[in-house]
Amino acid sequence: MGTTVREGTTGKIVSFTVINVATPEFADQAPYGLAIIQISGGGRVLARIKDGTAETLSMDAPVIFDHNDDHGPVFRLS
Amino acid sequence: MREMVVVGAAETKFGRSESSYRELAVEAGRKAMADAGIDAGRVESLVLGSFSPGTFINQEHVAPLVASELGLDHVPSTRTENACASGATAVMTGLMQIAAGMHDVVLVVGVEKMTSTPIGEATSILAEAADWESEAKAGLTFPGVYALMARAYMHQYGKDRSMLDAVAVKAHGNGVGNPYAQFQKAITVEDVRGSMMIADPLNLYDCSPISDGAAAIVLTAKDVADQFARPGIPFLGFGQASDALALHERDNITSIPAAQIASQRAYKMAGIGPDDISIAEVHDCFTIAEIVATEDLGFFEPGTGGDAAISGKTGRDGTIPINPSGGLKAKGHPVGASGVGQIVESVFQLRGEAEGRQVDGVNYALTHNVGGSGATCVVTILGRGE
Repeated sequence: MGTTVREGTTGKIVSFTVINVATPEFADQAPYGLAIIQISGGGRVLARIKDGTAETLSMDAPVIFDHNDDHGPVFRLS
Repeated sequence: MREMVVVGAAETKFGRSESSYRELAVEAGRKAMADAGIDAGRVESLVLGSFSPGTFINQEHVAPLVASELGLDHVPSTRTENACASGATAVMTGLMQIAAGMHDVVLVVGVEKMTSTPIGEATSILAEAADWESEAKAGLTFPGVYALMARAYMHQYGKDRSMLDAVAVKAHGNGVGNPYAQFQKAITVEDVRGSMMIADPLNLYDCSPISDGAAAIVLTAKDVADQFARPGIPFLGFGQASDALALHERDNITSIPAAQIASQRAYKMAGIGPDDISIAEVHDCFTIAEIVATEDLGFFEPGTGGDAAISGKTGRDGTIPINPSGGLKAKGHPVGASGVGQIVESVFQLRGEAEGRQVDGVNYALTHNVGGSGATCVVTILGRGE
């Protein structure tokens, strides 16, 4: 089942992509960075990374929870 | 258990078609029955593999629709859905009906009609095969799922995208020889690298296309197989396995455990191993998927499948030809048809009838059909028969 994330939750990037061709629901956000995040303390989530691009994202990079929106959690590079 | 064989095999050309869903299914089904030398009255059951006709063409309840269009006589008809493995799951269901002694002759059809749907909407429909709550809802597309796998693979094994280029160029080269293929035109590494970015690091030419198409086989048991026009091509082994839908719920994202387990089940049943396989039709929905498949199936050690592709070992003249049909990448990927189409191609290759793309000396053919990012996998092994 899902891993809970909240204010202050940190983790590191296990893998990432930048979605250029999105579904209609996300078309206004594309391109956007998505990563599998290993949460500190256990569990993994898939989440968008604020300002995540092919240039800024990297494997094992540390991230921290930024905010939730209708589509779920958003993290940022820390 | 009864020994099951294929006595009829056929498919439509894959690609952008003027034909409707039902016309495609009927074309493949009729051709398969003609190949077996039977009329509709001999078919005792229909199993139809189809992923999402309800969203693609606003039509559910498609198994009896196709049975009726084919003129099958009030036979039981059942649709199977396992995302992109819906086709091979239909074959598994047909095999079980015969193994159980319920029926002697089962028609299995795989079909999808996708190109009448706008590309954005099609991307949304395909994303429904991922875990909606934790993946698709968060903005993950299917190219995105495999992009995550590709990035992790390249990082773990220190590889660059040359291996992806090699798979794409090989697939399109093989498609040139296949009259059923959506793409019958060779491409270069420059074409692949210059194509539009879809989900970093996957470009357009790393992705299988949106396609229309259908494929069909006539299944029967060896004990009655002498009643048909064609000699039976036997299923020597088959296996199916499942896993979590969400990629991030799996510890290892550079292999597909369900594929490893399904293939081990199939190899054990067939009493042969990876080294015995002559050709394999694998689920190359994306270039990275073919590399991972060749490792999961035991043809190459983990981390070496990419180098094997670059060195030509998976080419038509290589040590283990992978996707001589062109694969999903070049032959096309009408979702529900793909898994049945892999078996149709294997039957053609085992009969020595794969004109323009025949591999010499095919004794054992393996098929590998994956649903989602690996939550379903079906592997079958076919032999030459007598």
